[in-house]
Order: sequence, then C-alpha cells, then structure tokens
Amino acid sequence: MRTKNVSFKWVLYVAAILICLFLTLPLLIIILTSFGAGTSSVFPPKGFSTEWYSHLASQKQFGQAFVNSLIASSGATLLALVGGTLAAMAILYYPFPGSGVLKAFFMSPMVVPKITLGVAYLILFSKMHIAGGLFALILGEAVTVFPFVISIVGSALANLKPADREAAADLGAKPLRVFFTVTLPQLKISLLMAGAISFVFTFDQVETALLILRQGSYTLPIQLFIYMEKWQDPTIAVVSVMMIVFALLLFFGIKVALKSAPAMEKMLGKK
Amino acid sequence: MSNQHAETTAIEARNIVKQFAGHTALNQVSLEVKRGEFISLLGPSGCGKTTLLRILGGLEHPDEGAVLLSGKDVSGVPAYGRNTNMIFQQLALFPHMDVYNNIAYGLKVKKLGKAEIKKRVAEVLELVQLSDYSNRSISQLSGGQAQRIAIARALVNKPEVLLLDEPLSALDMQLRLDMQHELKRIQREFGGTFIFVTHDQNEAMNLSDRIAVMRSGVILQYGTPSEIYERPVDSFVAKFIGDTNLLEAKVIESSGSKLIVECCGRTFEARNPGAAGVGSTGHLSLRYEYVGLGESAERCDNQLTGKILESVYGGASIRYKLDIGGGYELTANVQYQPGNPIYGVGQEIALGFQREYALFLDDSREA
Repeated sequence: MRTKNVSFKWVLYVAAILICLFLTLPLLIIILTSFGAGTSSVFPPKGFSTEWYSHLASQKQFGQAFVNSLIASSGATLLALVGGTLAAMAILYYPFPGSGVLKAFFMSPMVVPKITLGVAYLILFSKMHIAGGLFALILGEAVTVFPFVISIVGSALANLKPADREAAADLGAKPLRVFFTVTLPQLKISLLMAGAISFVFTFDQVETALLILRQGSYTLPIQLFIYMEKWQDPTIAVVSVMMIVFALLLFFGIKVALKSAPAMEKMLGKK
Repeated sequence: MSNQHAETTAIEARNIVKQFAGHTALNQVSLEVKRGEFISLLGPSGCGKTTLLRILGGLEHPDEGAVLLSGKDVSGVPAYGRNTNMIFQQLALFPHMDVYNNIAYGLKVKKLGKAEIKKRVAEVLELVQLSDYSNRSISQLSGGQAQRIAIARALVNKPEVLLLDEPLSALDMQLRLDMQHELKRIQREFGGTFIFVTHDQNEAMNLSDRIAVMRSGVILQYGTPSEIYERPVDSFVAKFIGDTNLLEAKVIESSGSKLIVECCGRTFEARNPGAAGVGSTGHLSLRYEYVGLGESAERCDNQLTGKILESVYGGASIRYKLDIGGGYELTANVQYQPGNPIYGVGQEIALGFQREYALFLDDSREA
C-alpha cells in the first residue's frame, strides 16, 4: 500500500515537471534566441552576442509602440474600472426589472468573438471619425475587459456589509462621502486585481488593434507583427524578452502591493 | 405649554405606519421619549421594533406619521441630517480604519479641527475605558471591546438620542451582563437619551426606565418595568415579561376592581385592572411567585389543594408544578432558604393566592 503511494507520488512529480517544461521551454528558447549572433531567428542560436539588444535601441518604432501600448492599456483599464464599478453598483444597490439581463449584457464581450468586435468597431469608429487612433482602441478595449471588472468588483461589492454604509450615513456622511470613505477603500484589493487582469489582457490584444489602428499609433504586438513580416532577425526575440521582463515586474509589483496592503493602510491611517 | 413639551421630550413618533411589500410592519405607532430616559423596545422578532428604531434614526422613512426630534419635525430628513446616532446589531465598525479613525469619522464629517477631534476621541475612549486602544485595528478587538468602540463612535457626536439595535445579542451571557452594567454607567455619565431594541425581557427590565412591549407592529404597553410586570395589559404582555400561569376565566360577578371569576371549574376572587364586566371572558394571570404553598396558603383569599407533579430545585427558589384537579395545572415558585420545607412529588398540599395578585385580563382587548 505504502509503496504504491510513493510510486504514485513520483508520477505526479514527473507530470508536474513535464508540464513546467512545456510551459517554460518556448520562453527559454526565446531568451536563448535573443542572445544569438546570426541575422535570423534560428534555434539553436549560432554563437552568443548582445548585438540585437543594442540594435533594438536604434529601432525607435518599438519604443513608440511600447508607449502606445501603455497608454492604450492604462486608458482602457481605467475606463473599465470606473464604468464597471459604477455599473456593478447600479445593478446591486438599485435592482430594477431587467437588471439581471443588463448584467448578462455587460458580461457578453467575454464570449463575442474578438475579431467580430474588431470589425464592428472599425465600422462604428470610422463613422465617428476616430478610427485609427489610440482613443478608439481605448474605447474598444474597455468594452472587452468590462466583464472582468463587473464580475470581480461586483462580487466584492456584494460582500460588503450594507450596515457599514448605513453607519456612515448615520454618522452624518452624505452618499458621495460614504462612497469615497467607506465603499471604495474596501474595494481597493479587488480594484487592483481587476485592474491588473484588464491591463495584462489589453496589453497584448491583437485582434481589435490590428483592425482599427493606423501607422503611428501601432501598439507593441502590432509593431512586432509588422516587423516580423519583413525581417526574421532576433530583434523579435529581444522585444519578447523585454515583454517577459515587463510582465514579471508587473506581476511581482502587484504581489508586493497586495502583501503590504495592510501595512500600507496602517501607514496611511496613522498620518 | 408646547415649549415646555419640546424641552422635556427628546424624540417622539406620531402615528407611524410602515409597510413592506404589502405587509404592515408598523401600524399607527406612537411613542414619546423624555430627555435622559432609557427606553427599551421589547418584543419577539418581526414585531416591528427594529423598523421603528430605524425610522427614528432616519434609515427608513415612514409611509404615514411623523418623527419629532426635540419638537422639530424631521420626517423628511435622511439619517445624515439628524442628530441621532445608531449602534447596529452587527456594530458595523469600518474594518479598513483603526479605532481612532472609526471614532473620529463623524467629527471629520462635521469638519471639526484636528485638535478638537483628538480631544473628543480621547474623552470618549476614556468614557468607555479603552484609552490605550486608539491605534488598534478593528480586527484586533474582542467582542466586548468592539462593542465599546461602537458606543464610543456614536457618543462622540453627542447625539440627542442614541439608538441601540440589539447590540448585545452577539455576546455570551457573562459579557452581556457586564455590558448591561457598562451601558447603564455610560448613560449615567453621558446623560443622554437611549432607545434600546431587544427581544430579551431580562435585558429590558435591567436597563430601562420605561419599556414599550411590541407585537405585530403595535405597541401593546408602554410603562415602567414594574407597571408592565405587575399590571400587564393583556395575556401576551403578561407571558412575555416574567413567568405567569394563564388560566382561562369568565367573569361572573363584578364590583369595582373586585371580580369573581369562574376558572378551572371553581370560582376565584380576582383583581380587575380594566373595565371587565360580568360575562367577559379572558385569562387569569397568576405569577409563579404569587402562588403560596402549605402554611402561606392559609391566609390567602383563594384557597385550594393540589398534588405536586414536579419539583425543580433552583437554589434560591424551588419551582413546583401542581395538579389542581380537572386536568388543570399551576406552577408555583417558592422562595427557599435552608430549613424551609421541601415538598415531594405526589404530596397533597394546600395552595392559595391573594385576590390582589390574580389579574383578570380581558381577551376582547386584543383582536
């Protein structure tokens, strides 16, 4: 019985290691390729060099694309957070006939094919004469991440005690003050989580961006896509490594923020 | 006259009607509370006591009727515009703020100066005897401490009326008794008007200057604890406050406050607190401790014999269940001191009660 258990454990370990390899190997290959010496992305790389990293410095379009991506993702995330929180509050606090249907409607971008949405945006935004710019992308992507905010912030909102709001009102706070001093601070962590997921999700969004963006406002994934059509050198790998580093930084940043949230609150509260 | 009225009345509800989805939670309820009084709203759950409290605090709005705070009509004023404060059943301390910021919340809303806020928070923390706790987070407080902080957070605003919605119900028995003393002390020192909602009759008796007994959205009786205990207006109040024998009875003779009633197949002399006439039917209410056994039965206006069915020793008293024939039972609670006789099960014994203590409660009043 005991030996059986042990052998089964090993099966689990091996499976886990294999899955880890499967998940990390592509990333590993990218990292190795980025240090290659040749003029094309081949694996295994011929020789070691950092020339492509220095080469990247001269490729100004990637820097611009990175900034564009940052703007688009931040804008879409902010818009979705504000709109999603307000919508979740409306549905929860002021239930009306059809509020359930409305919630389902807000969740629908999750299942609608992104490419369909992209085509729809292209037509709509062209009519509005804003197609091609980052503003259009922000509007479009905000809709696609709206479901994350509605579900994450909405469930946090549902867990707040109504008595807390009543207590604040009883202590003399008007509704707006109640929101900013009692409701919002208790949503901090779920807002951070919904924001992080939305940001990451929109950062490498291709389908919509590909359809509605024009040259000059290309985001990073689109710029990579276009570059790859012309060149096969390791620049792509270098940019990918930079993106991995950025994602890791973001991930650990959020982890640290979440871990130190009570400590930070204490610091702010003491002031 | 009306001026004097406003001076002594802290808060008043006039003919309040409140309905929730077709169900009448409050039906023409009026209540007047004097400045400095400690009032309890007492009743079983669903009787409308919490709804009445929330209406007084402005968290609900009545469908009909008015709420007067110090003589001013505040019916249309929401909670944040009223100088009342509530202590919630779940306390509702803000979990994202420490003790200091919880207590200071109301003062910050009023935009008081920082020094003034600090001074008043320190004062109120001293009142609830938790001076060293201002930097604690809410999750670090014990049940009793959280209770005191909730009281402090309300009192720091110097409300005209403090509303308490069963705040002690989550505490265990001993802590509950401690907090009752604590509440009384705080009220004495603070000198405010307290309205306390509870379903616990002992709590209401221990704390209150006056008790309003509620059932099904109406106030059945509003009076001092002794009035309610000794002169309940109907059998519901008699049964809800204290232990009482309720025996079906019919009036066969009436002269002023003295009645002869037919009850358990016998006739008894009883007291008439209302205006029951010959032929009225109702209940005879006889508190357990008013039934005398053995020697003490000899001097009673009403005398009979019974057989002991059960005896429960309770230290200071013994509770006997007696069979008085005809399928009727009476319970007697007899003071006990070592040396007093203890009657055994099955023993035949004389029992009796005074006319003065046997209340005839007319059932036609209810309905």
